[in-house]
Amino acid sequence: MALLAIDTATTTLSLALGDRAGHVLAAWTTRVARMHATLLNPLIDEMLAALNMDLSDLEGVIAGVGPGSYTGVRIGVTAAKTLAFALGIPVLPVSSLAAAAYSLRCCTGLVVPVWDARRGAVYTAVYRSQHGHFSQLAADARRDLAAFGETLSTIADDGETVYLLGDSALQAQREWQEQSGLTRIIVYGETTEVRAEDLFALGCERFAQRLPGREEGSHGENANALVPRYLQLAEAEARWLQKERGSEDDGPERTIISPDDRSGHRSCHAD
Amino acid sequence: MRWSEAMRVRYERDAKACDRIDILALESSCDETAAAVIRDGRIVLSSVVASQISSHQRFGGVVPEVASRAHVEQVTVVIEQALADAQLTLGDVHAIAVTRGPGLIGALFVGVTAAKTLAQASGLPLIGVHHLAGHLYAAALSQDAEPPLLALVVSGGHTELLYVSAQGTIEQLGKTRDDAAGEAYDKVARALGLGYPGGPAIQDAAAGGDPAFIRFPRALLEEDSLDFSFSGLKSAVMLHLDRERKAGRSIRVADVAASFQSAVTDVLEKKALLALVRTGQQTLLLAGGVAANAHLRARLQTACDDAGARLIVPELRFCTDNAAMIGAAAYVRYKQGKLDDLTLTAQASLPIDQW
Repeated sequence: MALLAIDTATTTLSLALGDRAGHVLAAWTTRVARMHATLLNPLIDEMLAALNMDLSDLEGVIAGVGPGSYTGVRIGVTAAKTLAFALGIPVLPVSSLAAAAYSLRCCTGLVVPVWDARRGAVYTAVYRSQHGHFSQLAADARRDLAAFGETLSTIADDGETVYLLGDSALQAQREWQEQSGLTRIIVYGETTEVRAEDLFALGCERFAQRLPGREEGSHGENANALVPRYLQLAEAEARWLQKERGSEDDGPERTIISPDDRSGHRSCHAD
Repeated sequence: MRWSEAMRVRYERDAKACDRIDILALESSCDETAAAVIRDGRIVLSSVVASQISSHQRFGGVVPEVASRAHVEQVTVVIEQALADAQLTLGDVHAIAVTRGPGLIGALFVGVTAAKTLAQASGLPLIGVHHLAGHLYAAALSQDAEPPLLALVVSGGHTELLYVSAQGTIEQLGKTRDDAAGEAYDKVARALGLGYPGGPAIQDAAAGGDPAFIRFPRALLEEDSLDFSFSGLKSAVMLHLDRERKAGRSIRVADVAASFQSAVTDVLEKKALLALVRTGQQTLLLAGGVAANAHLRARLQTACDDAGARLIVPELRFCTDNAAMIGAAAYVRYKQGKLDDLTLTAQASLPIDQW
């Protein structure tokens, strides 16, 4: 029995297949521009064939739900939810940002992915990796790059190393290194990418805890509800909301949606 | 077993042994998320359409990113409903079909990815369908419309004259060079403050209006051309509204709507008749969302009667975007053994002769 992790939110199309004990059996990552939609299903087919497995061997799907490219993330999420629906198995959403950060789980310090979200903003979150513990200190959100340095300096302990990764990492390092308290900023990676083995590692533990046997019913019930976490309204929608609410509200550039919102409804607030 | 083998085994067995073929079809090229199950290309076992009209109304038109987001939310819901309505499971159907283009690329990706995944998960053949071929085969669902025939497809995204041969090949005779007719309806409706979608709004407003109030331009292009152009007409309406407002006169909405509608219909009618004469065809198929326009249907009916031709209009629910028509078109390909593989992808523009 196996779990399949899929992420297409960034420049990488990444797949990982692992067992319930957390062992990765196969993990493939490609970086072919604008080919995620073409290649995703054939690569799943290839991977299963290489492992001499069948889709019917899957007992769950782990979906990278973004943030990232709107069109990109929809491809992986659509495949994941359709797979879960068709096979009658559960699907677990995992943040693509979290998966990227989790690749640094052996480092000690703060891990901060900074992915370009246009107009001076980044998709970001703050994690702390320490003594084998990996915890989230700031939720996934679209934030103003320049302004977030100050927030980050209040989160970081004195002298704590901050690892940056993503296509805005160099810029973030430049902007933030003047901040007091952020003395050790290391650019760990300069590309925005996700590897599905990290997505798998994050998801499989949570999955193992709640995964009932296939025979126990109520499977795939969350397939219909699975959607990407864009962290941002469509531009036209943001503009419309702004107009509805009057001019004192924030413009579309500062419209931020946080997945923390427990109600599950999309809400807007300024950071 | 690899999907390609499993699908092939399934196809060869079913195509030979099954006395009826049920196709689960998806459509997501614009703002409707749709799924349907079609038997033998003509019997509608189910047809589910999740319309996004209410979510686009506030923008006065379809916003691609908003549409794509809604497709992801709806896609498995409509599939589930279509199977339930047909009282079938995924294992009971014989193929998966999907609109692969043309359309909004982000929207198409959702349907194509879902269809590929369904085919892969169930070991079923996969068939990519041209959206306009779907509109043409919509006629097979409610009318006995055998090619050869001439088709006028008019919607928010398309205005095309197509020739369908007896063998099922499709040739484009003419198309719009700028706005689609439905698009012009939407834009003029918005300018008149009539709301979205523009087709029904203008039709209702025009009901009490004078079609001869203003003579808006009819762009007929070159004398022998079967192409269309509606942007000049749209601009003429805008210009008129501008002039009236600047002069402080109130807008005669009903008269303007009726005059605009009459100009659109004139052009569509003239070109369709020209194409009938040119091709020597006896049958005109009117398809696409604008086929819902009663004024256009009535005028074409009269014109066809006069010309001794037969006018075919599919049931209105199959004129607007739906998945049933995609299932009807896919059946033709299923019979011909023209199947796709898992590299099938969405295409924003797609020539009809490659359908």
